[in-house]
Amino acid sequence: MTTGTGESEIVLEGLSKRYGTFTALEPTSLSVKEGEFLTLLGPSGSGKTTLLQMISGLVDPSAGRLTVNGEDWTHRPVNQRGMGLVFQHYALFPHMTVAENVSFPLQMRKLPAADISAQVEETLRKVQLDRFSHRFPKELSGGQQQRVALARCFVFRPKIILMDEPLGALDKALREHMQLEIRRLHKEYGTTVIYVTHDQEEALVMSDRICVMNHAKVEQLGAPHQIYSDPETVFSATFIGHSNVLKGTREAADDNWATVRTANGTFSGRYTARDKATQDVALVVRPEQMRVGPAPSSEFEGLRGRLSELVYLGSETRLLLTLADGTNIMLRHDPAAGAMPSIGEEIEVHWLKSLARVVA
Amino acid sequence: MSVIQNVPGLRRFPVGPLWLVLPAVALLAVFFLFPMGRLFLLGVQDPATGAFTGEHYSRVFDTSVYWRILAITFRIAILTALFSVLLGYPLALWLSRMDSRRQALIALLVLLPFWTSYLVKTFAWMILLGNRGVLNTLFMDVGLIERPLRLMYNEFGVIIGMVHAMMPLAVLTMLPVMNGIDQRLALAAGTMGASRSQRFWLVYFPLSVPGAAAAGLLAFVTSLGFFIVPAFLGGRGQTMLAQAIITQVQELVNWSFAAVLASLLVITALASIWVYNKLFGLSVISGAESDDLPKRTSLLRTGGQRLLRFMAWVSAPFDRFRSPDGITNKKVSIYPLLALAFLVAPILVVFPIAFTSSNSLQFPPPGYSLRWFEQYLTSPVWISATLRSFGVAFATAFFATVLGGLAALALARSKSLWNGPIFALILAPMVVPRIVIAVGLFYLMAQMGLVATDAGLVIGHTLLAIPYCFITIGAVLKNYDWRLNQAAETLGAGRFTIMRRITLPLLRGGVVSAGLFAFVTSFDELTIAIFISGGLKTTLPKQMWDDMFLQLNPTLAAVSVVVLAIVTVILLVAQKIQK
Repeated sequence: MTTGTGESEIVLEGLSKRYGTFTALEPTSLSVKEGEFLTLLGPSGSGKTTLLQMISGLVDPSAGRLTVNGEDWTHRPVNQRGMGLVFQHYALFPHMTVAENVSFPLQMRKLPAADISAQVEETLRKVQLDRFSHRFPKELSGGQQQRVALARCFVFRPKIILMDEPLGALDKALREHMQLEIRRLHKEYGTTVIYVTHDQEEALVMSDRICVMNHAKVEQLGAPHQIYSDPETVFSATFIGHSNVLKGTREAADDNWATVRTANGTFSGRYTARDKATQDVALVVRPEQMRVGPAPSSEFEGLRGRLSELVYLGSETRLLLTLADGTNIMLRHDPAAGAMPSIGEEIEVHWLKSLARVVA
Repeated sequence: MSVIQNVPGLRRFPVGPLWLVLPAVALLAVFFLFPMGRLFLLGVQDPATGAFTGEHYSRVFDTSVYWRILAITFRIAILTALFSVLLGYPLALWLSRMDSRRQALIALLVLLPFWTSYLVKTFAWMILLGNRGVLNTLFMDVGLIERPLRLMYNEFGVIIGMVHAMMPLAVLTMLPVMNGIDQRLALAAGTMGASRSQRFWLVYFPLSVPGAAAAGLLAFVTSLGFFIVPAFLGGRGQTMLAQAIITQVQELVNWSFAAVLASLLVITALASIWVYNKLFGLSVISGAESDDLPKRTSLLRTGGQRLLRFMAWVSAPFDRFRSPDGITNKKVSIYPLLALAFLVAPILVVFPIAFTSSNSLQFPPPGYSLRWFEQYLTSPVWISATLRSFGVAFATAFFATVLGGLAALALARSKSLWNGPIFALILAPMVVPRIVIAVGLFYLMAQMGLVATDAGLVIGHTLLAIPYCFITIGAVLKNYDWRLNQAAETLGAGRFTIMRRITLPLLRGGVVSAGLFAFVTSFDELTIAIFISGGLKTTLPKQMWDDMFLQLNPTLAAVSVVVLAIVTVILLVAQKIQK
C-alpha cells in the first residue's frame, strides 16, 4: 500500500454546499497528498459526489475554501483547473471517434498535431484500444468505453484526476479487472486520484485512504485497514465489512478504553470516539473475531445465544445467533474448532477483548 | 465567508441561462403582444377621442350580418375539426402500427400535403370541383350525371377543401400520442378476457383520446381564422370571420370593426384552448412532459366509461371481421390507402394542367407543352415575386432558427418560474389566428413605415416560424446529454469552444430542420404578405392570390408545380437530416 509521498496538494477548509434549505454537504475539511489515491465512500445522498464536483469546479461551493498547491481555487473556472474528470457514464462525445475523443483535451491545449497523434496513440496503446481508434463510442462495449474515458483523462497528464463512480455501469468481473487497471495507471503516472464509489470492496482494494461519508458529512477518514479494524462510528463499522453491533450505554471510560452496559451483558473495548459527551455507544466485534466456545481467560469476553440459521457460502459457513433480547449476531464456523452445531442449539461465543471496539 | 460566496453560482453565471430567450421575447413583445394589445384597444375606443366605448361591440352585435358570419365561422370550423379527426384517426392508427422506418416513409405522404401551401391546395380543388372541372367532366363522360353538379361555391366545397387542408395536421397531432401507447396493453387486456372490441374501446381508445382531442382543437382553432378556402371554394353564404376582417381593413378601412372581429376571434381561440387545458392538459400539444393526472371531473369520467362500454357492446358483433390483435385489419387496409389518396391525389392534378397546351384549365389537357413554364420564367412580375420570396424565406429561416434555438436552449437549462409564461408566449403565434397577427402587424408597421419593406415581411414571418423552430430544436435538446458540456469543460474547453465543437454538432440535425421548416413557413406564407408585402413588389403566394382572384390560368399551375417541387425537396432534405 503506497501512501502519499509529497506535501498536501489539495486542501479543503470548511467547504459546504446548500441548495435553498437542503444541505448537500456540511462544512468539510480535509487534505489530499500529492500522488495519493483517496476514495470518497458512502451511500447515495451522502454528499460524496457534491464534494467531488466542488473540487472539479462543476459546482460552486456555498462557503469554505479550496486550495491547490497553496493557491485559492475555490471559484476558479472548470476549464482552467486542468483536473481530469471521469464521469459515471463516461460522457464520451458521441459524434467523435475514439481517437478524436482522446485528442480533444490536447487540442484544447493547442498542442502541435504531430504531438497530439503520437500521445493519443501511446495512451490508446496503454489501455489496449489502439486497434479501435477509428470507432465511434457506440460501437464499443461498456468496458471499452470506460477505457476510452480513462485514456481521454490520462492523455493530458493531469496532476489530479477525479473519478465519479466510473465502474458503476460494469458487471462484477469487468469491474474487478478495471480496478486493477486504474491502480496501474495511477501508479504509472503518479497522479493524485480522488475516487467516488458506494462499493466498499472497491474502496478497500484501490485506496491509500478512504473518506467514509454519510448524511452530508465525513464519518471517518483513514487508511483501509485502519477503517476496517478501528471504525469510529456505527456507520463506519457497518458500511465497511460486516459488524456485530451491541448497543448500550457507556459506564466507564478513559482515553482508550470504555465499558458498555448492553441488554446482553457488560463488555469492554478500545475507545477513541470523537464525541465523548454522548452516553449512547455500541460495542462492535467483527464476525471473524468471534469463536465458538466459553471464554478461555480473562482476556476474552463472551455471551450466549441460540443458533437460528446456517448460511453456506462455499469458502465458509456463517452462523447466525439470536441473543436473549432478539439481537442477531453473526460469526464464522471454524472447521478446526469441532463439528458444525445444529440449529436451535444454545451456544457460547467469545472474543479477544483487545479486538473489540466501542464506538459512538 | 463573504456574502457573495454564499450565493450559489453568482460568479460563474452572472447571467442565468434564461437571458438567452431575451431576443425572442423582445421580438414577440414588440411585434406580437404590443400590436395585439393595440388591436384590442381599438375595439373599445372611440377613434376620434380615444375614450373607452362599447359602441363598436354593440354595433357589431346589432348587425345580423355579423351574427351570421360568426355562426358560419363556428359551423365550418367545428365541421372541419370533426371530419378531420374522424377521417384522420384510422389513418393515424394505421401509421402508428408500423415499424418506425416504414412509418417515417409513409408519413411523408401526410407531411407533404401538410407543408403544401394552402393556395396550391385550394387551386387544385378549383380545378377538380369546377363546373367544367375534372370531377364533373369525369362523371358526365361516364354517364353518371347529365348536367354538372354544383360542387363548389357552396358549403360542400368549403368543407372538402378545409378538411383536406386540416387533416394532415390532425393526423400529425394524433400520431405521436398513438406511438406512445404501449401496444402490449391491448394484449394484456386480452389475457384478462377482453374481447377485441373491448380491448379497443376500453383500453386503446381512452389512451388515444388526448391526441384526438388535441387534433380537434388545433384543427378548430386554425379553421377559425381561415380565409383562403372559403374565399375561393365558398359562395356568399360561406363568408368567414377572417374574410370579414380583411374586408373591414382593406376595403372599408374600418379599424374599430376589424378590431372587434379580431378580438372575438382571439377570445374564441383562447377559450377553446382553455377548455381543452381544463379537460386534458396542454402537455400533449406542447410536447412537454407532464406528471399531472388527468383532471377530469368524476361525472365526465363515469359518463365516458359508460359510453365506451356501450361502444364496445355495439361493435362486438363485428369482432369476427377483425384481426386477432383486435385493432387493425391485417389483410389489405383499404381505408388508409383511400385516406392517403384523398390527401395526395388532388394536389397532383396541377401537374397535367401545368404542362397543358391549352389556354384553359381543361382536363385532360388536349396536348402538352412547356409554354406556361416559359410564361412564368419570362414574366418579370412572377420572377421578382419568386426572388423576393426566396430572400425573405432565407432571412426568416436564419432569424427564426437563431431566436427559436436560443429560446429552446434557455428553457432547457432554466428552472425559473418564468419558464411557463415564456413557453406560452413563444408558442402563442401558433395558436392565435394568423389573420389577427397580420392585421395587428399592419396597423403597427404602417406607423413605423415598415409596410412594403422586406424587413417588415421578415419580422412577420419570423414571428410565425419561431414556434416551429423552438419545438424542433427543443425536441432534440430533450435527448441532449448535458454532462458532455461538463466533460468538455474539465478537458479544458471554454464556453464558445463547447458550443462550436460539442453542442452545435450534436444538435445539427435539429437546427437544420428547424431552419428548413422556417424557410417553408415563410415561403408559403400568404396572410401577412397580403397586408405587409405592398402593392407592386409582392411575394410568390401574394402574386398567386392576386392572380387567382383575377382569372384562373395554367400559369398558376406551373407556379404551383415549382412551389411543390421546392417544398418537396426541402422536406426530403429535412427528413434525411433528422435521421
